[in-house]
Amino acid sequence: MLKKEASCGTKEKSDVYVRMYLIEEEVEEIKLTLKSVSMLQFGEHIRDLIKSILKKLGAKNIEVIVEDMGALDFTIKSRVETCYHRLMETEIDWREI
Amino acid sequence: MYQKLRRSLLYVSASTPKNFIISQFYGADCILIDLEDSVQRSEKDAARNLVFNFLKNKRITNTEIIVRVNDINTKDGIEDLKAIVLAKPDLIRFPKIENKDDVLKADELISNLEDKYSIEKNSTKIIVGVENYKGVSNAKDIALASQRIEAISIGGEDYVTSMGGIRSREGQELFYARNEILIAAKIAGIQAFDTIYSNFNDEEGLYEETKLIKNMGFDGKYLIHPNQVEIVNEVFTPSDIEIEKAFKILEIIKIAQENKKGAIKLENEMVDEPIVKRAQTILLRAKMAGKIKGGINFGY
Repeated sequence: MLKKEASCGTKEKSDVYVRMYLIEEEVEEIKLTLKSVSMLQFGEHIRDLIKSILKKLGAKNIEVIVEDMGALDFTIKSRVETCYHRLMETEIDWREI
Repeated sequence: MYQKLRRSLLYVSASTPKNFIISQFYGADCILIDLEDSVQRSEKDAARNLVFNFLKNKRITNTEIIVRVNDINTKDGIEDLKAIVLAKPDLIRFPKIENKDDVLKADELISNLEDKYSIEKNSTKIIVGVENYKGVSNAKDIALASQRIEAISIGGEDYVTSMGGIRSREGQELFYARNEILIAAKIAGIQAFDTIYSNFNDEEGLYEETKLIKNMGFDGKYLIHPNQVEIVNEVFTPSDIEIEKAFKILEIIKIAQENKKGAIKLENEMVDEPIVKRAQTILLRAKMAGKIKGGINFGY
């Protein structure tokens, strides 16, 4: 059951649109759905990158939907971090990211 | 004379990540990533994070990167500083500076953050942006308020609005404010940057305005469109004729000093101290712009 949601980014070229949903029940792993204009070439890299960012953030019990429009890593990282902090309504500690 | 060539400072919105990379290849000396006017209030957090992560990446060009933060008297301005001081751009540009106290507030916040983040004390350098009649009337106090300040600038559109005036193509309405900013910059020994030229399709108007502000003594100009970079760089870069004449002036001064001569002429022009200083400035600018290779013998 979906409880709460947040989003960040755009569907413009070189950007990425991230949506996150809090899930009420405990889940083993973060559910990640990825669509990318460069899926064949970078799909695996983007997936690993998002998972590592979420792990560093301590994220759990969330569903993440990402639509990548050819974003560079710094953009993906920023959008995921901002989306997560919007979802959790927490402030970023800049030394931690 | 300043060591950094900052002829062209191109604005880029912090809400559009693709521009962060592309903008470094238009030939501007600096890109100015904007967290203020070009970012919607609801997107300030996302833009701030984007700029932070961009700056933490390895640089791909030598282009200087400046960040315009939000007004220091707002929550967004303070939040911006928490991120941007740690991310270490080349300069942080403050908007809406009205008086010395605004600068002291920014200075204190930065000092606290440098301490918190274990960043070298006073290593964060800033530009103070003056945008209304209050700022212009306090320009000298503002320019002298902190050792962090590397430049002061005038925001023409806001200044003219604050005066109840109308911005014209010729820009006479800015003449007094530009001079106040320049005098403040010269007293403080810092650079001065001029306001944007908002009609980016008017190349002739931009050329004329840039020539005017270069002749007044400005070091560079804010730009809003990549098409403006080449024109502004060209105006601020000494021409071959200017360079040749400057070398001749230094040469005849050297000969005159050796012969202990007082009055010196080059063609039909008297050569005295201000002329020599201008020649030196031209040669230094030409060297920084890469038009002169090797050293220059200034005769001192």
